[in-house]
Amino acid sequence: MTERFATETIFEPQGLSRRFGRKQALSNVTLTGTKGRILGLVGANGAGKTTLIKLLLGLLRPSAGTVRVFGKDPIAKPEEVLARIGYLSEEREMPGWMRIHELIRYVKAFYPQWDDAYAAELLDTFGLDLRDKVRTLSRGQRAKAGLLIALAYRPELLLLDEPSSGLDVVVRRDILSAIIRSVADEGRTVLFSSHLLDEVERIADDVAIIQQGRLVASGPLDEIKEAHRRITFRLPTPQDHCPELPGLLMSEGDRDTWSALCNGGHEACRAALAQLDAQILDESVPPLEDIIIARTGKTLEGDES
Amino acid sequence: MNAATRTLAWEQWRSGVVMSGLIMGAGMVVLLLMRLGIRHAMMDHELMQMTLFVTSIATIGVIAFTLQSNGDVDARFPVWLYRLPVPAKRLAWTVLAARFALALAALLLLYGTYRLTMAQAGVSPDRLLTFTGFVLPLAGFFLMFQAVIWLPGRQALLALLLAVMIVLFLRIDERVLLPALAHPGSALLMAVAGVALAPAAVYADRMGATPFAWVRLPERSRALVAEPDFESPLAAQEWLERRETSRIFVYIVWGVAAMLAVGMSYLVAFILPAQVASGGELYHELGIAHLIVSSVLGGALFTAGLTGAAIGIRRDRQYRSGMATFIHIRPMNVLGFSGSHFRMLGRILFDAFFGAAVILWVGFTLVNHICLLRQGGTDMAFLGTEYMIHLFTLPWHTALEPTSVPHTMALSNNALWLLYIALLLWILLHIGNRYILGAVAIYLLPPAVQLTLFPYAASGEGFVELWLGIATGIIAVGTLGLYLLAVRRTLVSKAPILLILLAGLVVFLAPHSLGAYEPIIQRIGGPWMALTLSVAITLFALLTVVAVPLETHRRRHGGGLI
Amino acid sequence: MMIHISTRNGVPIYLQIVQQIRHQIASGRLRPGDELPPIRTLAQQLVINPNTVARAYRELESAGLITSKVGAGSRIAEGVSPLARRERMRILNEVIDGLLAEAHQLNFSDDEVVEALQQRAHGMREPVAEEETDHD
Repeated sequence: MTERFATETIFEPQGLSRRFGRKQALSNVTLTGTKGRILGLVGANGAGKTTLIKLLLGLLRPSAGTVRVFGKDPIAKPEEVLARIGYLSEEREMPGWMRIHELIRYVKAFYPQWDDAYAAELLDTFGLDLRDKVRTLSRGQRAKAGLLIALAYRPELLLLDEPSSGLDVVVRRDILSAIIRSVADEGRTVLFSSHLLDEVERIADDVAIIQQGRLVASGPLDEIKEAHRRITFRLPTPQDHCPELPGLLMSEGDRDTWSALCNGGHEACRAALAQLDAQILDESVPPLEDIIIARTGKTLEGDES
Repeated sequence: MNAATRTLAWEQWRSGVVMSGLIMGAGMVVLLLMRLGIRHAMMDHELMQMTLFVTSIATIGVIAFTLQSNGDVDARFPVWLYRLPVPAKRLAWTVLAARFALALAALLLLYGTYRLTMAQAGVSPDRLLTFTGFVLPLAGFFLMFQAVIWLPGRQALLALLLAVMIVLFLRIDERVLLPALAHPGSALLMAVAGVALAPAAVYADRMGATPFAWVRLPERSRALVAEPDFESPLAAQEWLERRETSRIFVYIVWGVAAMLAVGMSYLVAFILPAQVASGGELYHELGIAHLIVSSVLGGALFTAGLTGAAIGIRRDRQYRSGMATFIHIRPMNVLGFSGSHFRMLGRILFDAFFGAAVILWVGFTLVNHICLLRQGGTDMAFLGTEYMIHLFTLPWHTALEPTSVPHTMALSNNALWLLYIALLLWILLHIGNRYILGAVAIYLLPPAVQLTLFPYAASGEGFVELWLGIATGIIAVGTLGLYLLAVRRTLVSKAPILLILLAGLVVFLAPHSLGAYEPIIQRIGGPWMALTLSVAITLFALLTVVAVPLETHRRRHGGGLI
Repeated sequence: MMIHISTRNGVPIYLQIVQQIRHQIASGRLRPGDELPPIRTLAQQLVINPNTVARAYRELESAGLITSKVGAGSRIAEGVSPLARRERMRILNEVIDGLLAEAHQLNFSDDEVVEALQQRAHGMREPVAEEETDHD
């Protein structure tokens, strides 16, 4: 999956940290967003996803490290960077008193490349009424309105903070489908955060797993998945603990049958098992969810508070 | 009282108490400052009563509109409560009771402050507003008013209520009307009406009743009209700022102007012929009328500022920061944001006061001429016009009212008090700007503490004079530092420096031309004091030009200035 | 064309598409010359990354099952017979691999598996060579 696109870097946080008082929200995050790719930012609530996105937008100042978006500092050159970014926030903040047509009129003024036809089409697809006030919109409609004003000027980079969180299945599908379409048409770069792994697995080219402000793993989704193996094996003699294996992240089992999730070096793993005289019963690529649980030691939904 | 009711009531307090507290606090500050004016025997206690009245109305008005107003005139019963499995009757009465308690507390506090300060100022008690003549009618009015704005079709009903009140004041002799309104019986009547009406209003609103549907028709169709695109991002931003903060501001000033136009016409049209017939003149009455015009306009500015500020503060933190995000992600630099902010401020001041000037001028001229032609012929009409020119000089004089607001609000020759009011207004227009708040605090707090704690100390004025000199120096250094910082961050462009200085000069000269500094020169410190004061005022103007971009920059990037 | 994507079983999404299209060709539901949906359409329909669909199409193309022309979309290649034995064999082998793995886990020997297969075949007229169930 590395061919086709020239590897042009769109955004590039380097050694990025941000602290709020005594809380370290983000520490030493280095990432590369490549043009035309969809990066899924995965982590529990409060892991630092929103902080990272806000740093990319220049809405927060780094405590340490640097941010470059389109090769520029978003704090030094906000108007140049922001003109090329579409952003949908998790809270879908929009003034409640605005009607949809006022919302569009306001946002449109800032983007010379605003596409009226595209906006009209999205309005139609989403079934939004121009006369409705933002305050009276349902959660799903609000997300759609927020996405509309983020897409209609065809930004080169889309930053989507939990685009489908808290939405029902039908609306989520509409939202994701619109995002996919905008990417498919124009090779747009996307960063979206999510704690819904099914969604990330379907949509992302690359993933970055973030936990308590730290980047736990990042890279192409396929590579991350391929690099992990769930190996189920049977030991010749029962043991209380899973034997030490190269790259072992997590294991479960009892006595003689164990299931281990390992990272990298499958051959080394198999060799180690062969030495133990263990019989390999099954070897498979685990779902992303299992990898994340193994990597962060917790489920994403279970960490909300 | 069960748990659900308690939660409901508490929710009303939680969401309303901060803002109501702010309004009450500001009202008390005004009353305390008024005391300074009275102490120097430069002010009529009737003005104080009027201020008390206006502040109280504003406070209970804001409490009545507390939830779900968002700067929109369409305030209503908090709709999310309709989802609770609680009958309309209990919903209505619980919320009404909680808000009424808040309103009553505000009224009592303001009234108490008034009594206390008036007693200290040595006004004889029998000339003061009484408890039954002030607190009770307003409390009753609150209950009725709250129930009315919960009714479906509230806009139409409010307009009707306002019209009835104006007609009442025009048609019925004030010697009959005011005692009637102040009678405990009318208070009781309004209270009973409000309490009885509230559940019906909430029930109808909950069921989605739409009486007066035709009243909302124009609004619906307006929404459909395709508006032209904004010419520039700046225009869009200015539009948003204006819609976010200040519609009510402009409406209040216009409303006051309209009522005054009618009232003054009445005065001139019906009293002038009789006066002329008996060989008298009207100049004395017109002088008082002029005082009323300027002080009420000033009061309108003050309360409008308070309302605007209250609306800004009322939003919960998430909404505020979220709003900021919605705005701050637009591709515009700080120059653009602060530029549109200043344009918005200029625009609303212009709209409010130029509009008021036009309303007064046109309204007065028309009504005056019609009445005079009916009663006294052309000669009388010319005389009336002459009076009116004497009264308002020229329309732009009213339009320039903001610059003389401190003067007219103060209505005293106390320079300090004049400055207090001016700076309070300044804070209101820039609520939340830490640099301006900080500078005003440095400037005002020590003298305020001194004068409040020891109002009669002989050394007080010496200290105040000294402190104002020192504070001016501190603020000058601070402003210069902030200006250099802003230039280095390219948050202010160098081009408008001339404009800034020009603006400073205007701020310096305008009060001079309107005679605002006269009393200072007459009263304390002589020309030197007048000079430091004008330097301070100019500095505050300069500070604003620097502080707004700095604060915008700081907020946009999540704090810090580096 | 109906394709079902699951992210639960760890099989890469592009592979799920490839397998399901192969099945549909083998079973005759897709015929030579049939048009495949454009990448964008299929991505939107399945709510998956367009790059993934593109990758699946590339895999199918390099296996000679589909032909793609710029501007004309992708079609099932001519000459790909639904009866192509090689292809059907490949799918059958996939299922057998799964069966054998399962059988080994359950400690059955290969002979026992063959025996069980024959017994079952006796009961049924034909073994069904489909591991995925398509609901049309």
